[in-house]
Order: sequence, then structure tokens, then C-alpha cells
Amino acid sequence: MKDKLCQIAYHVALQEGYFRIGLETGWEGFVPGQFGMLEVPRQDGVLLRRPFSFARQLGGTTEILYKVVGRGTEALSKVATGQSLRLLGPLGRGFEDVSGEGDRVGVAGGYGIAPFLQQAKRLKAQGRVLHLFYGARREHDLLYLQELSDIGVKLHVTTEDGSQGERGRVTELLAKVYAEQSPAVVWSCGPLGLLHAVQSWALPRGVPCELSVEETMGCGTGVCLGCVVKDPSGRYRRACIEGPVFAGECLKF
Amino acid sequence: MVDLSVQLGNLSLKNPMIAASGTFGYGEELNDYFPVEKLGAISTKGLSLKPREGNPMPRIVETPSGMINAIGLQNVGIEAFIRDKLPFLEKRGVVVIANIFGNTLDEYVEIARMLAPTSVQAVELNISCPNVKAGGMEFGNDPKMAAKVTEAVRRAFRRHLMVKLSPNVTSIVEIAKNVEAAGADSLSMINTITAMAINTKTRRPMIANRVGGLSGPAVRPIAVRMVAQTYPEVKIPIVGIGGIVNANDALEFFIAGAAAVQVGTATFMAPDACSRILDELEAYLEQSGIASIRELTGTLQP
Repeated sequence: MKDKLCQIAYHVALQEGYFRIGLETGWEGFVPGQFGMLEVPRQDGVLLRRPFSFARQLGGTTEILYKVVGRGTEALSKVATGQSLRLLGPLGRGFEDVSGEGDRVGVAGGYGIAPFLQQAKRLKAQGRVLHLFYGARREHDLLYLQELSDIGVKLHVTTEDGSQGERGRVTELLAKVYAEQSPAVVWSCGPLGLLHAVQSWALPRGVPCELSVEETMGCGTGVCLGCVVKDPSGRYRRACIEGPVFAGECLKF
Repeated sequence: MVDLSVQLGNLSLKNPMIAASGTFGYGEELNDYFPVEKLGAISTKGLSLKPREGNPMPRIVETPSGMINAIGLQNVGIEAFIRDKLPFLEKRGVVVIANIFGNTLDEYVEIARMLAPTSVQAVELNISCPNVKAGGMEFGNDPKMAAKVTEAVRRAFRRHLMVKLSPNVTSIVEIAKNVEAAGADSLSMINTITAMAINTKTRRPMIANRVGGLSGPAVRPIAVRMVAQTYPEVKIPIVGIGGIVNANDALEFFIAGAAAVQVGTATFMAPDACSRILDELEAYLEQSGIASIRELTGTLQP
């Protein structure tokens, strides 16, 4: 990991306060699920960097997907293309590859979709397909649908209000589709409730799962201890170093 | 070539930049970003007699130009520190300041005793934690208790003893004088300021512990004031702490009376902050024709 001043190659407003920002990192890539600490303009008393999962690598440009949720992301959304921001990354542990037969399954909630773009590209390079279960509140919260389908992802979409895909919870659809045969692995990224539901479904069936947690982070380097999650033994683990992707059996909700 | 070295009583540092406790782990975490032996010293994550898991989440929240934390002193415990963490710092040739805290006076003394035969050059007493035996009252809030714990640790650890003062007191000068009289070699000031932030939607505190410690640039003017007030009243050196994010911030502390500084929250903003601020300080001295950083201490004009 490096701390680098990166020029903004593009910064695109999507629907409903979502943005895509491309940073010229010059990286060859990253492990899907890894994240970076991005400097945001220090206005209105903003002090700390913000953690963002990486969505994809396009040449030397690394893309981040974010939603405006507070002062930091509000300030970030105003930064123009051509300006530069410091980015520390790639940080943390990403999704691990598995060997063996069976479907490779992703379960994403909301903007937890971010790491699955690169994950789908990684699988495609291996000649495999990502079976992605993607749940959101409503149609407006579904992102990267075109890009995912361009990579050949097998998409199963749900929304809570039924405005697109099946109405209901994404984990219910997952259970329905894989009622008979089990997938080789389930990777998940999204709100804690979703991760818990994936864990509760996968572990009793002996399906390996990896869960990417979203936590408030102070430093991203393991020293502030502000991003910890509990493991089954009751010990705290740092999401920034031991995570953000944890083996399913390593988390206690 | 400017002279950055400083002398804190019996402790010689090659430069006045100390990584603040709780912001630099045990040193090895940030060694990928710059060689940590570049620093004058590293103050370790606060160490207790037994390992501690710390507080539930959420533990931190950003506030205007600062942050509140209530980590709850999560640490590996003194034994694991000496066995697993100290060797790295020794190998790198880092001046180690072990930040220690106890629930009782006896715990402080026992930790200090365990450090006495090690290579640790200094102990920094965190006296901002509640004394369980005295009904949760903080050692650092009472001049007599602050003196008592300083005196007891003084007897158990003969090398450099730094006492980190809490700003959550009526008179920090009075505490400083008592700690000096009890045998402290230096004072580091200030620890975080007790603070709270509320989520107005849920009407709940933003951190699980309800209250935490405020740090960052938001506290700097308070810290500078406290150093300036204390400097004329004590003979032992002062280490200035509080929201330093660049060389100019550090200069404020030197002018107010600090002989060295600690940088904390800035390390969260950038892992190489201590290194960068040190470089900036050196460049400032060169450009200003100041031969030694020591010339700056306590040069506040009326």
C-alpha cells in the first residue's frame, strides 16, 4: 500500500446522490474487496479521510463508487475532474479465490455492489461466471447493472418495493435458487443485516462464505482501533487490517 | 545543518518528534510508510497489566476539526508487549516510551516494575483513567492522587518518567506542580478533552461509551494555552500535545514552552504525518537561521 496524490480522471454523478470517481493510481489492479482511504477536501471541519471499496480498475485508473451520506462525501462530490486527492491503498484483505466446482456466488446489498464489478472481471478471466444476487431498496439504488451484464454476470435482482426484479429480500431469493445444490462459495458485501443473513444461510450448509463489513474508520492502517468487529471468541478484529473481508465463521453478529 | 536534538531531563532524543500514544500502535504497524526510527521517540498504545478488549462499537466519531474516541484502552497487556512487540522497536533502534495505565495504584507500580529490567527508556503515565478503588475517580483529577501515583511509579522505574496530564481539571498548573514535586522527569500535555456528540435523529450518543476524548486541531488552542500557563510554573520539561498537523502548529507549542511535541490524530489523517511534520520543522529552522530547536522553547513574547 502507498499513499499517493492521484489526479481525478473522471467524476460522474449518477442517480440519487451516487457518484463514480476515477483516480489515476497507476496500479495494475487490486484484490476485489480491498479498499482505500481517500482524502476529502478539509472544509466544514472535515478532518479524516473516508474509506471506500474499489469498484474496478480501468487501465491505470481505479474507480470508486460512493453515495453522499454526510459532510465528507458532500465535500468530495464537489471536487472537479483534473484536481488531485491523496489516496492510501489498496488496503485490507479482499475476497479469496476458491478452487473446485460449483457456482461462484455474490450477494450484494445497495452500494455493497462495488467490489463485485472487479470480482466479476476476475472470474471472467478464469473463464467463470459470477452469479450475483443484488438487492436494493428500490430501482434507483441499483447500480452498475449495465456494466455487470456486459461482463456476463448472471444477475438475480430484488428490490424491497418490487420496482425492479423480484420483490423481497435478496437472501430469500438466494435460498430459493440454491435450495437443491450448493454453490462453491458465497461472497457478500452490504449492510450488517444482509451479511448476517448470508452467514446464517451459508454456514449451516457448509458453504464457504466471505463477508465484507462496512465500518467507520479513522486511519485505515490499524492504529486507531475504531473499526473493530467481534469474532466468535469475543475478540475484536480490525476491519481495516484483518478485514474488511472476513471468513464467514470469523464474525459474530 | 540545524540541531534538532532535545534533552528531556535524563532522556536524550535525536529530535523533538514523538508519536503520541494510541495513534501509532506498537510502532511496527506504520513502518511500511516511513522508517519509524526516524522519530525522536514512540509512545506506545496504553499498556495495562492484563490484555484489554476495549469498548463496544461505535468507538470514534468525527467532529468539527477533530474526533471523539472511546476505544477503551484496547491493548495486548504488558507481558505480550514486552515479549512480542518490544523486540521490533529494539531492533529498529527506536526510543521507546511505554504509556501505562492501571485501575489501581498497585497495578501502575506492577507494570512499572515489569518495565524496569527491559530496554524501555521511558514510561509515560496515563493518569486520566478512573481509579476503581476510589470509586471511579480519575487519578489525574486530584493533585494528591496524581502525586501519589507518580511517587509510587518513580520508585519502581528509575529511568525517565513522563506524566501525561489530563485537561479535564480545574487547574492543570496545580496538578503539574504536584506531579513535579513527586518526582516526574517531564510532563506531556494534554490528553484528550472529555466530549460528547449526539445523533439528533436517533437522539443517542454517537459513540457506544456515550462520552469520549476529543482530539485533533479542535483542541489545539486549549492545549497551547495550558502549556503556556504551566511552563513558567515548573522546572521540568514539557512535551506539547494537541492537534498538531503541521510545523506551524508545532511551533506554537515550542514557543509556549514545550521542549518536544507529540503528534497523534494527524497520523490518522496520513500515516507519515510525524515524519512530514518533522521535515517541515527542520526546513523552517534552516530557512529561519535558527541553529537549534532548543532555542525556541518558551520564547513567548508578552
